[in-house]
Amino acid sequence: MNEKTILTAEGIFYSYDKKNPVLKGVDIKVFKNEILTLYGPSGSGKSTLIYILGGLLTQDAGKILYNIDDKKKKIGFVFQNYNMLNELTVFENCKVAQNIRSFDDDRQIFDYADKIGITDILYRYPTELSVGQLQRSAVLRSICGPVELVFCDEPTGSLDSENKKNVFELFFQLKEYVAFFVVSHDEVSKKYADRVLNMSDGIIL
Amino acid sequence: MTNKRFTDKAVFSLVKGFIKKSRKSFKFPTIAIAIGVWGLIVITSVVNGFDRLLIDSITRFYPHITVAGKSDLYFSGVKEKMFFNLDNSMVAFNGSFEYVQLMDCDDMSFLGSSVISGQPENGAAIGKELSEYLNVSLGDELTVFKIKGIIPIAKKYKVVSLFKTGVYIFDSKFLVINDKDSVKNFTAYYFEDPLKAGEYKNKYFSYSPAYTWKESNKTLTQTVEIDGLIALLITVFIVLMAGFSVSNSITFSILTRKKEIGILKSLGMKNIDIQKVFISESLIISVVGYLLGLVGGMLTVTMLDFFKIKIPSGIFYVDYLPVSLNLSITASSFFIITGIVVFISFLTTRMISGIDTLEALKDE
Repeated sequence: MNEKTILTAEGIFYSYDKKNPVLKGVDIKVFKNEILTLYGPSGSGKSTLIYILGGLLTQDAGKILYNIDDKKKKIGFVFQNYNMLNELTVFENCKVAQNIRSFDDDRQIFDYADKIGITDILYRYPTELSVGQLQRSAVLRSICGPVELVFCDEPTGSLDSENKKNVFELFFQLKEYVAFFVVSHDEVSKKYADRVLNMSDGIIL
Repeated sequence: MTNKRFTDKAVFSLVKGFIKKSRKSFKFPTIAIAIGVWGLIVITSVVNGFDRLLIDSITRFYPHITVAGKSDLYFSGVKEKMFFNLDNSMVAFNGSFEYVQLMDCDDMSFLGSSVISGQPENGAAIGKELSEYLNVSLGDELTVFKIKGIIPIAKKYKVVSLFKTGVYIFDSKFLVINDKDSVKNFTAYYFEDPLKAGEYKNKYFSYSPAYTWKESNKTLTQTVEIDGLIALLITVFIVLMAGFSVSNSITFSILTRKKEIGILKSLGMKNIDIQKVFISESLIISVVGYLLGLVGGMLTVTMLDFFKIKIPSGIFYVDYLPVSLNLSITASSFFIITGIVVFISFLTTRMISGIDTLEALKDE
């Protein structure tokens, strides 16, 4: 595996009902510090693929090789519906994410928050934030700790065009620290990507 | 910092956050445990109060060890010693009569704190209940009928003292006299610590016919044993109630926080660490509930002790509700309740491993 490669997946098959395959032999590579956009219509298997690559699902067949040790600590997720812990402030959300990833550095949270532009909302609860602030907070949490790869599942799905643009600009700013594997059916996602892969009916075209 | 320390920090932050923001959902199980502990403390204190009073009352009056014959033995721990006879007799006054246990002793000073009027010397000391039944007062002369062989002998005794032990059977059926002419056939020992009677019996009187106060008052002491069993049963029920209440609340908590569980799983948290969050919450619930129950229980016990609630004396051997905090049950119930709660929480939270991360993330 090339040292610039974070992961290589070959021949990934997956079916939810063991009858109709959602992924039909997907081969893919993700490189360090890149924004990789997987573009395709709803139902094409994009999300399923990143869940498998991120370890939230297990493939029926195929192999995945990670060029990172202790992948659980070095992989983050950003979801369409943010999935913040509403009982904790943004800062506490980030702190918990860091601790789960065996990391503890307040400075990192403040530095990233500064880059993302949400220092002023760090001590607010998710229920007090706008959708744009929520998505930025979710991005912040996803990269806290020793994270090297972030999977983003339709991260701009519920945002207006201004906020969509902001999120992708954010990925662009942060790619010097982490690689982003973005799944989207939004045209804007292509504009900021280093590489764009198209997916349809469980196959990468 | 080790991985475990990092995880513990995450668990602590989550527990703190969940408790701070979801106080309402913790209220019910906390109150349930508090009520249980409160009830446990009050009930066991009343049971313990009856038991202690009964034991105190018996041992204040009845010889702690009765030895056949005249014993000259004296050893450390003995508070008082006397010689006595105990016979079935009949006592009569002004046409009324009653069958009694006649305790004829050479020294009546053992009555001590049980005396409510008069001086227990040179005459008869009569239980309060018996005096009311016969309508006898201090200074009256009683006729006591004893059987010597087959011949009934009647002898008059002046009532010099009234006593009240608190044990109905003693107060209504015992007449204590001081007959200097009679030959005494038994030795009565009273100890500094009556609970050591069994130990002293084995040590000093193993070869003589001797009976401890427990052996001589089996019916009454069995009551204490049954009371202990009742207290144990109450404790078991309350512990189970606390356990199931917490288990119920954890199940509810898990089902309503599926999404949070999914988020934590997606962040890479292990199932066992997520379990720790819920187990810690239930531990906090049980400790807070226990402390609230403890404060409530102790306040209630103090009030019951202060106000001396009246109870029917014909049914019970005391006329007020006796209370005495049972420290061993109170302390051990804390460890049992928290232990059971942690155990049941562990079993209940095992369902977390079965929760599908993606399904949980979709949960609203």
